[in-house]
Amino acid sequence: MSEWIETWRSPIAQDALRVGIILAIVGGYLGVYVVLKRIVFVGAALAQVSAAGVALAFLVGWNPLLSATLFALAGSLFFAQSWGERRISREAVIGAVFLTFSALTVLLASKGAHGMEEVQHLLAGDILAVAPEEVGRIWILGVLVLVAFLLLRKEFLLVAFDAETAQALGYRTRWWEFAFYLMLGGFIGVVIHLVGLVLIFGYLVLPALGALMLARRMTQVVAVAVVNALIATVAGLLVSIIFDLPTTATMLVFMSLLAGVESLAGAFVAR
Amino acid sequence: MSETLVRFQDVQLGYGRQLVLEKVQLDIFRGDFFGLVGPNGSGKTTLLRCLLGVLKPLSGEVTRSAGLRIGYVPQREMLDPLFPLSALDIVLMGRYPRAGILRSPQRADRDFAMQCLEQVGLADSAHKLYRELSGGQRQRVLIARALAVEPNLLVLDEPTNGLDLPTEAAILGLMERLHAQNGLTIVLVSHVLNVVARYATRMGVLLDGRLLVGDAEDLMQEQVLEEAYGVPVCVHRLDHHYIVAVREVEEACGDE
Repeated sequence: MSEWIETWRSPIAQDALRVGIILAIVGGYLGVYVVLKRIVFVGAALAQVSAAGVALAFLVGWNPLLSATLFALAGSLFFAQSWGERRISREAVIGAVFLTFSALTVLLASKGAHGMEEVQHLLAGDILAVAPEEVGRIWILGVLVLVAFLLLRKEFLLVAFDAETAQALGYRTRWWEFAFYLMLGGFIGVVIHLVGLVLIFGYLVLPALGALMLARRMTQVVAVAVVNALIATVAGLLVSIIFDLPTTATMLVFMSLLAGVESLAGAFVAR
Repeated sequence: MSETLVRFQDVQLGYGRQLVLEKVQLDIFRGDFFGLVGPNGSGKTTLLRCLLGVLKPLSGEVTRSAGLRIGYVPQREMLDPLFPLSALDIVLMGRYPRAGILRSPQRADRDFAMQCLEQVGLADSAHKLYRELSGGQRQRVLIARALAVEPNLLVLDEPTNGLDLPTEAAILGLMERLHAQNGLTIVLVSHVLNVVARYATRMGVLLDGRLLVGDAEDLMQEQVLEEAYGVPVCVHRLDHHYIVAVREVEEACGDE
């Protein structure tokens, strides 16, 4: 027992916990909007675009953080466009972007110094491998995104719920959409090369799912989503240390479990 | 002559190179109850978007009176009931521009939103979730939100779509009351001719990319409607109501 307590108290686990906490708060909060706006796969596609940016950076020797962020911002600009009535659906384009950048990531990484190992790291990531100097940076970014989002939440909500009325009220919805995607893309771009695509995607989808089933008001939904993400982070990290399991997968299992239990509870209460 | 709130002068509307409406001349006067009708795809939404200031005209000029505030009631099918928002939350959205960016609506905004809900007869349902309300109640919430803007022009897009007869009558009665008692200028867009002709003091009919404007009596003519809808129609008048029927259907009914 003392062995895992020692591991839990180690700087590596404590840094992972600190990173996990801010990811849970920001991811849980943004995730509510991602799910409500029905852009779950935009989150995945943006994460994949960022991953390709990291793979390219490794190949040509650029800064991976900068490259991932630039790729994510370009992706945000693309997805923030109003789709309107076109000959192909938005979903199809999201799928095409996801597949194209998945293939690009593999191709770029295969020519990199570490080959497929890099791809594996980008996909699964490892929150335990976050360098101590990155922790402060992630917190600064996380707090900035969180404060900006809190200050602008009513505008984001109006544009997400009823863009047409927002326009009629004088809001430039295209800019508000871009601001939303900028925050989402910037957040994904900065953290993806540290914790991986799957964990980020998980934070953006699973905690919000259970919260939307369980809670009835927007503020409650956000609170439950953030608490879900925090519980899954702490429990996942702890259990993965005790039983020597992969951390990302364990955290995701906890997120899924919470989403499942809350969905059942929500359905039961609604009867 | 009443004050003109919005004026379209020789306006062409469309998307990119696609021209939808041309030579639009239209004045919305203070105190108007203006009804806009036309078949599907005739450009109702395009004209509405321009009226709201969302779509810029390809050419021509749209002028709005200083201090114009538009309360817009969109088609309720456009809104996603997945959002966990109460009726009051939604009505409060109408106060957002007044609150300003970075600031939350204040207590006074909340009180005003409650008054708007009261005006549409939904004060008791203020804290109910939007998704748990009936179609008619949802429509009332959206009207209350438009009223929360403190508008001098209320624009409604197909407000009676998908409503049963009593609910439709109640919504239109509410419109009539807001127009008569509050002096609110109303633009009602609908594909239901009978409804528009019953309540509107002036009408616009979209016909082959043009807008014909006049009184209901002038436009509710068989010849005009046949040209607009491309089918032979009969127009009957019963008290203040117009009844429009496609001729074949009417004849078939008459045979029974």
